[in-house]
Amino acid sequence: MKDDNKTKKQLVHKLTELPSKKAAPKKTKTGNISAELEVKEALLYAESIVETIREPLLVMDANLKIISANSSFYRTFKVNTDETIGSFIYDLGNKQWDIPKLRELLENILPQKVSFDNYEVEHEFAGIGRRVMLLNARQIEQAMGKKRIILLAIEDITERKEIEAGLENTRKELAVIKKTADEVSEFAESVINTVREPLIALDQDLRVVKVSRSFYDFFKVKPEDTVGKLIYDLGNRQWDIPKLRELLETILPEKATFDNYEVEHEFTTIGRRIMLLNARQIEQAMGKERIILLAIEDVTARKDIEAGLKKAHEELEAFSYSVSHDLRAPLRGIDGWSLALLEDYKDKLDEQGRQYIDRVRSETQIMGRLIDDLLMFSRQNRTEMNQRQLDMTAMAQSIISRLQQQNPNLQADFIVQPGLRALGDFGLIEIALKNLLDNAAKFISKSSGAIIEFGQVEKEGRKTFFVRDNGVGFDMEYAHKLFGVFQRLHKASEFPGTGIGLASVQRIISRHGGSIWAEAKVNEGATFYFTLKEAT
Amino acid sequence: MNSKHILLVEDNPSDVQLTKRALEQNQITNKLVVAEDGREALDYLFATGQYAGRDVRDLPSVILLDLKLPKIDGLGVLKEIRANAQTRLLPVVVLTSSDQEQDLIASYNLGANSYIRKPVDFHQFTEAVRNLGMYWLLLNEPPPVGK
Repeated sequence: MKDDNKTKKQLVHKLTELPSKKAAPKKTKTGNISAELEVKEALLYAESIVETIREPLLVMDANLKIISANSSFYRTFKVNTDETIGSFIYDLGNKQWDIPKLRELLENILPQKVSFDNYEVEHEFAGIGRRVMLLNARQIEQAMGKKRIILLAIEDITERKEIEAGLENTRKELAVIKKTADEVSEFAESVINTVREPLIALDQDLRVVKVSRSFYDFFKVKPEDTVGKLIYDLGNRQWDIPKLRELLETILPEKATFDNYEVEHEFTTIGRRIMLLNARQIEQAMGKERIILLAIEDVTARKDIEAGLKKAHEELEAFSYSVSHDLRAPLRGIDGWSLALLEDYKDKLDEQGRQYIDRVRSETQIMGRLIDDLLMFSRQNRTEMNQRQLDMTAMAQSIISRLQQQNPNLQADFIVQPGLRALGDFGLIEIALKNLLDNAAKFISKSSGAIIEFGQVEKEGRKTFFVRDNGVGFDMEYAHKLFGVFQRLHKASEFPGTGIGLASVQRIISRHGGSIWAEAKVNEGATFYFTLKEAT
Repeated sequence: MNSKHILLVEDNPSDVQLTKRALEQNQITNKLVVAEDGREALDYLFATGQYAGRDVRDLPSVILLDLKLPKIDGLGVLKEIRANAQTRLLPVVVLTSSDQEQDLIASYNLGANSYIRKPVDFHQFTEAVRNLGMYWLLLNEPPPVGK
């Protein structure tokens, strides 16, 4: 909230720097409003739009220095005003924005084309991870007192890309900006048409004043049936939604601004939609007493996917609950009754008979462990992640000291690189690292002096952790089986285990957005590499 | 009045037999009453249904309660026991296959005195039953009846 205000103040400051002589008077029907007042009004209007839209927005000057950014930008990219305003765009967030594709857009494409939509950029940010962004860019001659400014609207489509590629088709390309004489109006206009989400402006009587192109596209309405109409009358009175009435008539007059207001409605043209609305009420804009800006985000697909996921999650929960209860009970019976047989019929059984019973019981134990491991594995995939800074060196040292306590006969030297840090969930990363170190300790060669090492190297420009041993190794031919559930590369008689450990490790690392792989040679040891987000 | 018996609420006959065996092996000779579902357990405790006419003051020293039960599940039984003045102080030990965190939390929230996960290994199970018997039948002073 504090940040928001600060941003807003700076923005207002920047906007009001505009020399009044540069602002061409806006032609209005009444013509009795002074030019200066009109410019201020338009500025306020522009500023409100910038703040209302949900997607991150950057305003740059001709030298690609940031003039202004909205609060959504700060939130999304976890940066603050001080390090942003006045900075060269490529220098943002510790030079993280020095992205070749962004350079191409700003330096080659934009100077030639003036505007560019749906420019896709994929980038790995240290703070917030891999992001796929769609950029809409506009170059405007003369605005905000600058010779040339560049508007950059950023939409984070990472999640959407990952879970639902099809959704994008529902939104069409934005139109080319309508050139107007009034540069401030052009600025506002540009913002409206740059944003990808439907945007609508209403006057105090709730009649439509202005609508973004995306609104027409999304709600399948025509400009002639929209502008000047009462919002509730749009599309054959389809917009007469009780919750919308409540927002516009009760909530907004009191609060002036409202975010993330959820409305669900069945439209005859486009079907059931769940929308999140951001609303702003602005005094005096566009020659009107009062303007209400409504930004609409369609979250139908996301909500549906969320509901589906929740259901799948519940089913899985019920399944593992049942596994935990029902699969273990008969095992206890098998073990108990074979022990009863051994105890009560000892005299009638010969040595071999008794051995067979021992076999039955040890198999039961293995089955019990498999069930427990499987349950733990599925639980690890479901627990919520709480990412924070991790001291990987300290974590490895504590795992190793526990490992040594539990295996007093372990003949191995451990080397841990000091000062290793990463970003991740403590509990999960600890499980992963423990599994890797346990694994290294398990496969030490019986002949030579065992050395197990945990450290970090640079691999293809990424800081990469490794756990290395000089033990028995494995044949790389079977490396693809390494991380499969219940996959084992060694005979159980030589190296016991259920084959869950490395599958767990892989799931944990991939949940953290990292990757894991191994390099090994038979009898020459194995090295497991994994990446995590870097600590900031 | 109190016969120092055990109420075992368990629907799996194999588990019932094995529990009996474990008790015998540990020379715990106290009477074992078995209820095969939650309804039967509550009927026994409150002298209703098939146990109508039973002396309600004759309460077990400890209840060994499975969670997954027909009709009324273990948590439902526990809730009833704690809601009733006659039985609310009774020691209840949850004895179950589950090690699910939500079961642990729910059991303790409803006032379970102890929670034991039945081990697959029968030796360990016998040991657990021995400890249970020692603690709840010998060491522990049960709450006064009807208070």
